[in-house]
Amino acid sequence: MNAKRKNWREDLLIFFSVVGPGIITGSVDNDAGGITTYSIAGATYGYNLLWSLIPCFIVLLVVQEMNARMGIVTGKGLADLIRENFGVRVTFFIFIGLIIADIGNTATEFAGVAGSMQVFGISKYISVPLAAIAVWILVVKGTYKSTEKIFLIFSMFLLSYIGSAFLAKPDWHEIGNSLIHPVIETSFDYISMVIGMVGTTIAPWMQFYMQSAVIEKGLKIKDFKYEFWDVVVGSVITVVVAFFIIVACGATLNKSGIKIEQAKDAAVALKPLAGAFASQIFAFGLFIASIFSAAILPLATAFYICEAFGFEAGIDKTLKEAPEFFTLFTIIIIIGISVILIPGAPLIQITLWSQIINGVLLPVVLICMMLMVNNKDIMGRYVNGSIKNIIGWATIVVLILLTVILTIQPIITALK
Amino acid sequence: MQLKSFYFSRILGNKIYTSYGKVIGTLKDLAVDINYKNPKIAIAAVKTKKGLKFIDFNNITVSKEKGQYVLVCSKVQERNLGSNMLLKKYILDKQIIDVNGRKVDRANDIRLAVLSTGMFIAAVDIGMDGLLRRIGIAKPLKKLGFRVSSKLMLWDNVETAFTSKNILLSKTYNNMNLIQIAGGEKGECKKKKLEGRSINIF
Repeated sequence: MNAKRKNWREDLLIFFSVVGPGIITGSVDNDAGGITTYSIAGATYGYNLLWSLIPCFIVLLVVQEMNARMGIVTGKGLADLIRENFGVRVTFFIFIGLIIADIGNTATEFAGVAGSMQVFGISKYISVPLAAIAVWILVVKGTYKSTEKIFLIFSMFLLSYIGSAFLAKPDWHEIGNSLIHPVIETSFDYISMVIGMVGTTIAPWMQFYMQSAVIEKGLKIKDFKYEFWDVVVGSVITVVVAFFIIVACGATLNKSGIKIEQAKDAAVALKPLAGAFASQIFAFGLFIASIFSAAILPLATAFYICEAFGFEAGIDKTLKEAPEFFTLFTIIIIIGISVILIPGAPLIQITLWSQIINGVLLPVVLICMMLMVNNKDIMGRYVNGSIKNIIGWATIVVLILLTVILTIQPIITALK
Repeated sequence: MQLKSFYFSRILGNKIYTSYGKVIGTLKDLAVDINYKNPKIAIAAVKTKKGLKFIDFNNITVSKEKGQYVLVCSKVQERNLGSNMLLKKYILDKQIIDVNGRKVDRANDIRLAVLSTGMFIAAVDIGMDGLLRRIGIAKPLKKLGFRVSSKLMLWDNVETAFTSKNILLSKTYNNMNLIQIAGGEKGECKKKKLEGRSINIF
């Protein structure tokens, strides 16, 4: 009995030393764009879309588990593996798409910083540059360990949305009911909302970040079982946060018939409905999510490019050891904040096009991943089992179908 | 036209013909005999209708006709891969690491040299030129007047070694020779020596 308890304690201790990449990646899923999507979903459809978080959870878990496994088994980043196994052309195609989409997304994140701080009455000309400097110091001057700790604190802060939802006094009976008996509509708007939710939960850059983080942390095969639980906890946090954002907006904005366009609008609209505190918590969550992703997105992009071209990369490296990595990181942040600070920048178009590029890239990245994770030369005995393959390929097929719809729709909107 | 040297990527995926012009298959990879100091191309991995075949490279000649590389095999002689090392699988796109364990670059392409005794690896292309060539936009860009510099790492600086699973190329020399050619092949050629560095390719 005692030995068992000791084992259990030991397991927990190792778990806490391994934990990080999964929780961080899971949490940044809910970036400024994600919070916007969930807020709109809640405001427009109430609790009707809560069911879609279940498939989101399963896909997220399966995809990120594969990334963790590939990173641990090969010791190589996703971009390393893609370059080595699919050659220059595929790598280059993903590279072009990823860099454009990530710069666009980074701009969206800084827009989230600007919007959330406006709720507290702080001008974007103060909040955005300060946030950018903070993010830069965190990554360039920090070590992997120190940066990871701050990222994990960010992840915990995101749970503040639970508070926001409770302050909105939702009808739990109704929520339970809509989860068990969801009303699935077949209208175009409803379907594109579902696609938007899946798309915002699983973005291509996350896969690159996840795998690079696992390697930089130096996780080994013996850590894998703990890393798996890190991924599980991360995926749970993703859907829990998303769930409570939808509930907060569903219980207030939807009931009062308020339509919103940005996450910031939700925070503002919450004030008369659920009180100033609920509104501030919502804005605070948005701020944390935005600054968190504003750090991870340029990181993921810099990792990808350096791995693809064989340059040194990592938070632990100094500016001198990995000049290309930190230069790329800095340039992406500078472009991102410039877009926000230039008056009259077409932010909605930027968000839209980054979303389209991400949508096109995601199946490509996932197909590469599935082919490699099933290759015995690469993975040895750690290739996928049949259940993971079924979920993986089914996800790709559904994503391609959804992406075609999602891609065509904004192109039509953009051309109108 | 008789060739002196060319890039591996230029012939990869090309069709291989018999002396009578019949297609044997497409070139999937080349394998080198690493017992030579300068590795000699020994085997061609060819994708035929009957699957992948390893053919003796000594019977294959490469020539350039109308800007395209043509591979002709006078006699299809199958061989075992044995301890020969595949270039596409183990060198192309692999990470290059110096003696301090620092990642330097990736192997973008391989320069092959034709001598009277056979075909040999001359250098590893680590320049931008190699990347553009692999993407397939090097020639169009040059026609548009863009000057792209080449950067080649001489093969003598790299020594090959097998490990259980990976094949690594490890250099035991303490310095590395780089050839930098500014603005394409006709540009100025300068040789650069980096002291105290040796190279591994994973």
